[in-house]
Amino acid sequence: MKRRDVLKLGALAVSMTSGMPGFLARAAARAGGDRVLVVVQLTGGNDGLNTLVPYSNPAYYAARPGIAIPRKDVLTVTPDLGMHPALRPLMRSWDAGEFAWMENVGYPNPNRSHFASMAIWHTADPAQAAREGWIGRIAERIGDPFCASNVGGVSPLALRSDTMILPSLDTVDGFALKLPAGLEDAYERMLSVPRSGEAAFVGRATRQMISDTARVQENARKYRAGSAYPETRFAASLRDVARLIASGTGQRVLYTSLGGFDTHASQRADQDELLGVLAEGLAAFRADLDAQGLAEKVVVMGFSEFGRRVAENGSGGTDHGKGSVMFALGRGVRGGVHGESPDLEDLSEGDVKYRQDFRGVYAHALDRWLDLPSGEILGGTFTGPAWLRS
Amino acid sequence: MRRAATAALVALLGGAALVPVALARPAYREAAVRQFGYPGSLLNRSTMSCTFCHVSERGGAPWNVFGEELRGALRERPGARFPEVLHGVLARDLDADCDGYADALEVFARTLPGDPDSHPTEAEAALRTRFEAAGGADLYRPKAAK
Repeated sequence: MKRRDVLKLGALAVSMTSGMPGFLARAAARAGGDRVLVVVQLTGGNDGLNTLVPYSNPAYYAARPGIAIPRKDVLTVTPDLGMHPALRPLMRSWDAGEFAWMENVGYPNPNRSHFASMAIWHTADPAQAAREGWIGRIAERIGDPFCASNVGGVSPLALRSDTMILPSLDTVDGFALKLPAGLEDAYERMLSVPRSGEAAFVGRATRQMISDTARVQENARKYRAGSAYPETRFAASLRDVARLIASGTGQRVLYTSLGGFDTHASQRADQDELLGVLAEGLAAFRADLDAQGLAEKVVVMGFSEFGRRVAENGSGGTDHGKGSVMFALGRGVRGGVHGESPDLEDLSEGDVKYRQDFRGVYAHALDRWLDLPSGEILGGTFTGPAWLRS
Repeated sequence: MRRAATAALVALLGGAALVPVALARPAYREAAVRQFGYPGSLLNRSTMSCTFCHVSERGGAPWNVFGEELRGALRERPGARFPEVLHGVLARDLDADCDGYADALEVFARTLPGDPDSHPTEAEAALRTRFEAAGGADLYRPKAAK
């Protein structure tokens, strides 16, 4: 076993037995760089056509007589495209050139199953052969299980690694070094026993972890949100993400989700509300980063496992489709619409024909933002839009 | 040793938690179960069969007569939330499957409003008296709209 492996397993074992989150401890070697990628998952299959609306296209309105976004309501961003009106809180970022849409994103041989398609996005493997998530592979490449974590809800497959366990937390507040009552002295005595070799290394790592935890928790207590977050669970998760970044945990990737986009019925009611939750949360997060002086260091990248069919169904909704849109937000983002809109008169089984492989979007984030080798992490060379400024 | 240790840690932390099981739970069935106040696990099909609205136990197309009635109402009110539309359908006091019991009465009696072979055993008049005494269709009005 290598020294680094001992460190990782030792730190993890301590974090488990103590109830403390390993990522806060940061005993393992810190990953290089200080840029953070925040991944936002829109669970359920967000309808891209009602998100970035092709308002000049008669085929869009013909296919959706009951649920299309009226032209008068869209937030115009190009002569042909407009954002859903519920996304108005993001217009400030759009106007500042800090919000990007990636059009018509998908993958080969699209799968309409939620589970299978989400697994494909999580593993970045349309062949569904990979066991590990793409962010899990980032952690392996960096050699630090604490460089990425999920905030809120169930840990996604994207963070799965065969050799590490990446942390997932519901809230930052609930995490601290908590030993069973009365064991504090015994724990200290255990750490004070002179040891040699790898055992000594683990001991030092544990002490460092305790020290780091105290520092991070102190910083976390000092954190004051620099903006007013809405009272939604999603916004609370984003506030925790901002708090983690501001507390100096040094994480490179933070992951959170917003669910409910499986709009087979009542789409206008449900998606409208969800997009509002998304936009208000992201706008507050963006303003908070500004106030904390962290806006230069963070970009957000959002995706959903698939889009919806072009035509509305008989229940005031849409069924599972194929390609959809991705989005990005941040000062490091090259704002605008990247890629071509789908041809709504040239469909594949009623779905848009995707033009941009999502792995090309991932690759740009890896190569240009996280400074990591995308080819190694994604298992191939993928190209995509230049949605980052540098 | 490293793999064994890692496997043990994964097992301890519950690797199965990585599976997004929630995705497999139909949202509209769940919403209806909550709206009707049906007891039982949402994961148990007997709590509310998919044939409440669908022809097949596995859900999906096609829908039965009650399901089609609901779909029609959803089309008519594209901006309304599912629970509001569902309540609106029940408040019409229609009998989709023509078995002699209005849809709302079947919900009250926990039979299937889209299947004529499934209907309450209690006499319609007596059932209706109990239903109205309990609050009638208002029983199923979404809480936020009350």
